[in-house]
Amino acid sequence: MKTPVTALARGDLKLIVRDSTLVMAVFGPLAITILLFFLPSIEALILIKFGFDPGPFRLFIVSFLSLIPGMLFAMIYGFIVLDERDEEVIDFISITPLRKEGYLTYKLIMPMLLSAGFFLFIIYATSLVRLNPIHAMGIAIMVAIETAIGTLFLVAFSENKVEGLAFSKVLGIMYLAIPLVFFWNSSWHWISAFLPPFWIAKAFIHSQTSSIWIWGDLVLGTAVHLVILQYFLQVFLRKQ
Amino acid sequence: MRLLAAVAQDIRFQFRHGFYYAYLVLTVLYIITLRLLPESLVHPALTLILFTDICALGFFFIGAIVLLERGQNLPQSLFVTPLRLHEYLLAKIFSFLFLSIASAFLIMLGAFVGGQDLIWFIFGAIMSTLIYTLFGLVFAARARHVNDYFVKALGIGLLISLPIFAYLRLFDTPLFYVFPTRATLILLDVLNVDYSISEKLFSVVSLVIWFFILSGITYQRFDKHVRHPA
Amino acid sequence: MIQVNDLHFAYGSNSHDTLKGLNFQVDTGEIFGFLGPSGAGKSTTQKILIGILKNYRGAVQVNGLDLHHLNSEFYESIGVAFETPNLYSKFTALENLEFFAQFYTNETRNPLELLAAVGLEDASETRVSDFSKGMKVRLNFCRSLLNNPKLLFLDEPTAGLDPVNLRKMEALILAEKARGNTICITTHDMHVADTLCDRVAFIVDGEVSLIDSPRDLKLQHGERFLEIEYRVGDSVQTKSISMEKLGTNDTFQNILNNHYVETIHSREASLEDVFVKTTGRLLQ
Repeated sequence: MKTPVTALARGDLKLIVRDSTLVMAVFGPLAITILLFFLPSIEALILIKFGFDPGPFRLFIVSFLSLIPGMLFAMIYGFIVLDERDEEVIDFISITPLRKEGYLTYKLIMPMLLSAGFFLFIIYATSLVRLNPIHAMGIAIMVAIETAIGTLFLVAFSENKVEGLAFSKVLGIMYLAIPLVFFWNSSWHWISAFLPPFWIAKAFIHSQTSSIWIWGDLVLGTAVHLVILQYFLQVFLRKQ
Repeated sequence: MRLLAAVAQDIRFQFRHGFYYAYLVLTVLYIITLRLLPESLVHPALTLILFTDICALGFFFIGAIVLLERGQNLPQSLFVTPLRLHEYLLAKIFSFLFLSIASAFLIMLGAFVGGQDLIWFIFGAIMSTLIYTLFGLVFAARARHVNDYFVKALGIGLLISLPIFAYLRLFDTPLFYVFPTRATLILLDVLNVDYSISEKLFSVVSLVIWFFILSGITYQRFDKHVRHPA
Repeated sequence: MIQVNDLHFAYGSNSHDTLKGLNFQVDTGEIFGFLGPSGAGKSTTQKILIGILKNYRGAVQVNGLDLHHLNSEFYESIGVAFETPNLYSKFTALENLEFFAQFYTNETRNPLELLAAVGLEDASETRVSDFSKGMKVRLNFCRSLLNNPKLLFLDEPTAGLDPVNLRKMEALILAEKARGNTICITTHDMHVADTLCDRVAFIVDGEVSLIDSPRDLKLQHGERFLEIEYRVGDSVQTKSISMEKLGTNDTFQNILNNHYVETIHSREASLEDVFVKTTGRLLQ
């Protein structure tokens, strides 16, 4: 098959393999999976050493760590785009039949698939928390969109790699919503509802109590994700 | 004079690329977090914040800066002026030191952190920033892409962070005392735990030795790959 | 000013030499041009002369200094404009010049006057990221003049310039020469070499094949001829004819007498023709 997309994918794969980015792309998330496999032993160790039971924090830890691969993929693809913009590859691609829209679609779909895949893998390979498959799929969709949001955030607002780095620090703040949802026992934690991970944390909590609210989390959360995605897309396309 | 000009330029460069805004936001968030934490957790949390972020920011950013400069051939034009290589490198290091220390100072001020051993603590914060920045420079000298740098930096970053297990008292080995991070974790923790004077002195000596080793490697690598690329 | 004897250089672990024994000297106060196709070794030679490439074999003296013993003092008196303009894109033109000026202990030139000389006075407060390629080339040139260099290296100084700015740039380079400064130009633009250089060196495959003034080269190697277009029936034919003894040239006389002549142009040999003739290579 010789389509613009397979050509792009081959190019990326070459870039990733040559620069050993693949190492990070796979081993970063893999390291997190391995860490989660050992979570029960670490919990036991903490209980013995400090007489403190970290069990109640498990859901928080799993929901937090299962989102890290998405953030990593968002950053990897964000920096590939920034690199290609610095080298004016994007200008060239936008005059090929693929067009800029096709280029961007591809650069967003790859990290989306990878992060959703890793999310489901982490949840079901470690089986640390029980999650209804339909709920898991719903959360995975949000994880995927969130990754696209991350990539777009980096490339829409920064002009080059160095600014991209500053923005990636700001991107990390988004995940603050998770501890806020878990530990801030006041309805004030709703002020972070504009941050996408807020809804994932909510969904995780409601999924454990078979609460009917989970459907609200999934529908509203996906809507919030899509609105932000749409806004960042516009910023990016206007900028190029 | 040349050094001063180079430091000022690097600070302005970082400012224009939004580093100071990013760290202002982070600093405020860290202060809020520290204020909200129970008293007993403030000092350990501060240690971890400095260790993983504020002092490590040079490690995180230096790769992209050096790569961007190299992509624009800026080192080339700098090295055909009287600017010396060590001045170029010191400018990079001091500019990050300035950002780290300013941010650390604001956090401590905002969270009312202080104590008797402040001198050791400040020395620890300065040395960890220097060591992290130097580690970043060592890998930035040869990296080809930002992602390439991240892979190398992440690998080495995770490796040298292993003594965090000793800090969390989960796992310890004498081998950790070879790591520069064991020493920084002691000095960044003096406000929290009473360390013996020999432990503190060991940390200082260890960090100074690491500083000179890494400086030497950085200088050589930049001389070979950035100033005289062949 | 520059004395190079038997200069060899090989990149990295390459077994074959990129430079294969170069010999030349550049006199004080002259404009010296390195001409050749890309990849011939022009840039490599310049990189050695400005101290970027170190591990060369042979003897290189610049401004009385053996480049094996180079120190930062050396850079006080040379200026370099690289082919790709390398400037801080988030800083304005003026900020860029002021920043680089701080590195010199010698007195530096007024950045605003330099900008005015290249027609960038209105862009002094503009960030370089908003500059066109031609503007960057001109700013890059300004930077190389900041420290009043006695020796100036210019790599493709006219690349990307429109005709008006090209003329301005040529005038500025000649003005530097008038101040008694020495200038080395690397280029593959024969017109630039022809109008500016006192002497040129042809570099092909890492060797200097010829050094002389453009005028002498054209006289020695050029052939004066003319090109004539004339009608034969419905078609137009072209012939090149030597200008020696035109009055007794049978072909020429035959055309004049028997055909309808459309155009006649005299064609002096250009430096490019000399280059092609003596090296057997094309320049591009």
